[in-house]
Amino acid sequence: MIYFDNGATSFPKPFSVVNAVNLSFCEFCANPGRGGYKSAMKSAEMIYNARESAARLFNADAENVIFTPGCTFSLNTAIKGLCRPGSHFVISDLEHNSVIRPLEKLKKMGLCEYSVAEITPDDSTTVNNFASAFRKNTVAVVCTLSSNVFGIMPPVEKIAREAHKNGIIFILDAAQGAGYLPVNMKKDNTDIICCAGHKGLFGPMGTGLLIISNNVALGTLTEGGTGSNSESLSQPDFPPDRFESGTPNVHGIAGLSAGIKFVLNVKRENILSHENKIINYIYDELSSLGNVILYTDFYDGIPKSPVLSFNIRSKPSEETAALLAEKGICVRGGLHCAPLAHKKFGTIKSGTVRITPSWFTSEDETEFLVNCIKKIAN
Amino acid sequence: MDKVIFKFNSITYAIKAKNTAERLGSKTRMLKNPNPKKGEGCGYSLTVFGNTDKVKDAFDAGKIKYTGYEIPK
Repeated sequence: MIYFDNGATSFPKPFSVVNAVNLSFCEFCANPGRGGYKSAMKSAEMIYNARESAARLFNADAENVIFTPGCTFSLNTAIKGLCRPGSHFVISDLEHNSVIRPLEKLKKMGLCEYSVAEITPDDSTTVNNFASAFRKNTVAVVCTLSSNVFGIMPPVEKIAREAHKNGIIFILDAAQGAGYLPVNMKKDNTDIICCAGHKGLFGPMGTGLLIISNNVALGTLTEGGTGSNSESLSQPDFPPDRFESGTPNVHGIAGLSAGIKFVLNVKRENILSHENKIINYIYDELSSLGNVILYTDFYDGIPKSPVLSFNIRSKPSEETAALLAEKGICVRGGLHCAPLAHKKFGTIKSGTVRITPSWFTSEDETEFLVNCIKKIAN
Repeated sequence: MDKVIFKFNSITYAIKAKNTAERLGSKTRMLKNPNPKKGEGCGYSLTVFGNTDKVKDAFDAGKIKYTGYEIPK
């Protein structure tokens, strides 16, 4: 199997992640934050270490790192936790359904409204697009770190600064990019970071992070047992307990912790450089083929993450993806749960074939992929 | 050696406090709070041995939330 679908979930995982998950069934077998016996304490310490590693990677405070079942859950918590009757949100035109659908639901319930700001090649125009969408009742901006379809990276730091000038909270959807793109909570004015654990952080599927800054008052999506303040009938008001009801995914967190440590050891800059090298090679090879449509220009100076979408003329994206699958190549066709991005690029009917490499993608695999695309295109 | 028992309502803050105290060279013992008072249910206690003033200052500076502390007789 030749895997180029790391944008959906990363594969392979580092051996340290596989090992950590395996060992967790023996080493971290007790429920953390509940009992006071040794193995319960050991589980709790492992989880705290995982929080510290994530805090180090994103320059946040460890107690503000919240484990979730995934980025979708994190985004739902952030959006619904900030929504009050009459609220207004602003999102970019590259957002994923995990941002759009919660907002659509709240809108249909009459609880909030939202506006869509256009991302343009010019940063100041983009920031102005957000600023002109702000209203008196705007509570938050939600913006992706990188488009999961086209790799475009909005100027999130500048958008966050503009949001703050207007007293608006900035939520970063870092599903695509956490682990290889720079994300610095304290430096970049980010109030809430939502990300997947199983993509660029190399954790198991079913893991995610919600990281909040100290000044954000966020409502809860779920309530229940936290192992703290147990005599109170109300949910604790302090993170992470406030947002982590029920027994945590200890084995998933053990794997995620190993994944984050892998990123810290290898260094995200090296991961990004490797993936960019792969994507640039593919881009150069495909751009010389008349039958292949590319949607982004990797040499136009606009920041992009290592995500490449393409189509073969006259073939639906799913058909190209299926033909590549016959050769053992895993890529994703279709809309990638991002209809706004496809409307923007005129690909809502055809979808696109998306290539997303990882740290583990080799030159041989890349060459094989390119040759297979060339054969299909010809 | 001086000794102080800090109380926490969350395991997260108890571990953060434990790590902070140990980095300052103190020895520690973390337990489920053996004698919870009203409002301290299901909490944890951290006994810090040595450097207790310095450790308490570090907890306050690092916003490590403890619910109270006791100096055992």
